Amino acid sequence: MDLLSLNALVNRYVWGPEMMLVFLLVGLYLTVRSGFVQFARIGVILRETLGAIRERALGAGGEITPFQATMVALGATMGQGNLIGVTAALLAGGPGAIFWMWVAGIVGMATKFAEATLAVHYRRRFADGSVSGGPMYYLSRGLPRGLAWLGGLYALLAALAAFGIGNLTQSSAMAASLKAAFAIPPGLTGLFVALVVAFILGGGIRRIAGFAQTLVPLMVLVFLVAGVAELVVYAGRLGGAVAAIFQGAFGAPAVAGGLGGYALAQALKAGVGRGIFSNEAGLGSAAIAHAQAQVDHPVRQGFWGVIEVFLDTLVVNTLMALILLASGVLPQATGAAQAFVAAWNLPSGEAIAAVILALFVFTTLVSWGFYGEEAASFLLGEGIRWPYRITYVVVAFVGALGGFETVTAIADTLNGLMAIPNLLGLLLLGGAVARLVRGFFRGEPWQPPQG
Amino acid sequence: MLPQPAERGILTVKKMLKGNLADLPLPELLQTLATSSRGGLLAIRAPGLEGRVGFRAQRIVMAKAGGLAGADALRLLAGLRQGTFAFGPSELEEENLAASLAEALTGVLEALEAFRPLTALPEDWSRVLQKSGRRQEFELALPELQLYTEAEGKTVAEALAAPGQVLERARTLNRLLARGVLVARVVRSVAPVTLVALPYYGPVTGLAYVDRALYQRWSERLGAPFRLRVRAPRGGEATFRVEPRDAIPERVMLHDRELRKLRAARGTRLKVVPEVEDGSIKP
Repeated sequence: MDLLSLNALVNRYVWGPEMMLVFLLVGLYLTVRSGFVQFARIGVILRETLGAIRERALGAGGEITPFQATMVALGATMGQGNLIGVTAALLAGGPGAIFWMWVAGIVGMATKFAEATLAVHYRRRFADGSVSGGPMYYLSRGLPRGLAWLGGLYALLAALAAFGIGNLTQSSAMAASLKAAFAIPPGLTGLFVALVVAFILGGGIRRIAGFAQTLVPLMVLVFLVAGVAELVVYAGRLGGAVAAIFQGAFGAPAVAGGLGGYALAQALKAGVGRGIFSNEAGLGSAAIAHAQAQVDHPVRQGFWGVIEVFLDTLVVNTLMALILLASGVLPQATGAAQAFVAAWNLPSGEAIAAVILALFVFTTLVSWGFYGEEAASFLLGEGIRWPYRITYVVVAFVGALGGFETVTAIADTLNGLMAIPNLLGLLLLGGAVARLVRGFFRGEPWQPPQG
Repeated sequence: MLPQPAERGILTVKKMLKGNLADLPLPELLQTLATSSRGGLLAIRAPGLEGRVGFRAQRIVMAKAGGLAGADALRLLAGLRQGTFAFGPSELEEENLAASLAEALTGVLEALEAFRPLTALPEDWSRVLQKSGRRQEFELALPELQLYTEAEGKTVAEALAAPGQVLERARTLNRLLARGVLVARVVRSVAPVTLVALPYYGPVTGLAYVDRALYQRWSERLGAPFRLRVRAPRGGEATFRVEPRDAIPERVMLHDRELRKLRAARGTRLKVVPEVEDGSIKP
């Protein structure tokens, strides 16, 4: 078996139904251990996050504010998967897939809550006041000594996967989209992306956060405004689209054809897959950003993790799905990318779709650059940061030129593999999550781990 | 005979005379100024008390201190063991002393002698009097009980400043301080600060947490247990017990329910001011 065949085999498993089940089970376990936080504490979560949005510019004794950390995480989470990925899920599973996406997303909220909470709890604080955290830290510091190596494994996978999911895939998609809509040469897109990403990453987490806290809300706003305008255009078909989601969820005829049990299985697989992978809950990557937040208690940042999934899966993905379903383009679709563009029935619809896609992939590119850098520095020390940044920027440039399918495929597998040590760690650290949640809701101060 | 001012290190700047009461006690200073034939105003500044004494034609014609006037003011000033003074020509706003120079100086010397054994009285009259907080029974005579109830939260200077009773109150206060019934604490002013609200949850209410460094600063400044008065932008106001907590700089943590009662939430900027626990507000 050659390398590509082996990669294809592993890829099928790490992104396949078996792994989806593991994601869901870990999410359910964490839902229980956290005291059903995404249900029982929904009022507190909303007050602590969206209700405290005025606090977005205020931090307390750390690197960046909780809002900024969330925007960095959301920048990475929201990418092609929310646009093309949702389109693909609808094509594969029909409208019912969206219902199962919601279910998986709600379960994923507990997973992301646990990741963000543990990331702050086990983060490392350095002499200059900077912090580093994420799965590599909670795995190496939180697990028994014999399993601490999982932190190193996670860091290795994340440092390499960043070049695929965060970089090549994104820059090539951006270049292709801008070429199609505005005839911009991919080389020019690549050069622009490389220069801007170099400037942002060069400023460290503070500059990344400054960029994310401006561009990510703007990106979401642009998408929401355009999306709602699109729904107004399709207003007459909106009720039918919503009904199709609920009917399709339990096996009614799907848009792409199929009946009964088969349709249900397809809807489940496509929807759960989107609900899990779109928001990255379980992959652990977003925890690297959440670890940077200036908070007095890890659970407070965990709340932002819940909101991150809410915005990604329940707001953006749902709006995208409604646009696609109401537009009626899916039955004639020749592919996900084509259907995504065709659904935008506004004046300059193709241009709007291209701009939205460019914004989504660009923020992903920046945030994943930071994730990869943090993972590499965990493995190789601070000296690796600049070499990693330079390599990342060069890859962003060449990625725009296209033709790196093999590298992208391998990086995609590495990305999927990140979930294995992370989910195992979350399972073993469920008790720590439970203790932190109990302590927080008793008003006890946070006691960071020693050593 | 009293030593001459030049021997006691008084600074003379043109027509202005300045110095310290530690170098030149009040009776000597008054005698020197009165006999120098120079009219003018002596301004005395001590912790917790300011006074003025007016001179005209080799007589002391005016005295004011801590709301008292005339001989009472002179008696009160005689008790000062620290403070600065400055004398210069000035128009006198009024005359409130009719006694001769000798009578006035005798009264001051008597007061000085009366104050001398009162060693429990602090030199710093800006200190605030508080109940000791000790769980102990005290038998108090009527004047002591009266002063005990009146003096709490006042400075030493304010407690002594009673017309016709300065020396008696000084003796009574000295007894209360010596027995530990009252304590004189250093309480300086603490300006209100704006802190950002952060909720906490759990069974404990009525409590505010502030950053440990800020708590430490307030403790050192107030020198006494204090509570926190919190004012919300929409007019709500409440006081809380206060405790320090790590890693919440520029924040004040209040219970979620109490925060909502103040119509505030996480991120709201609240005006907070520490108050000494007996209720004396020192904003």
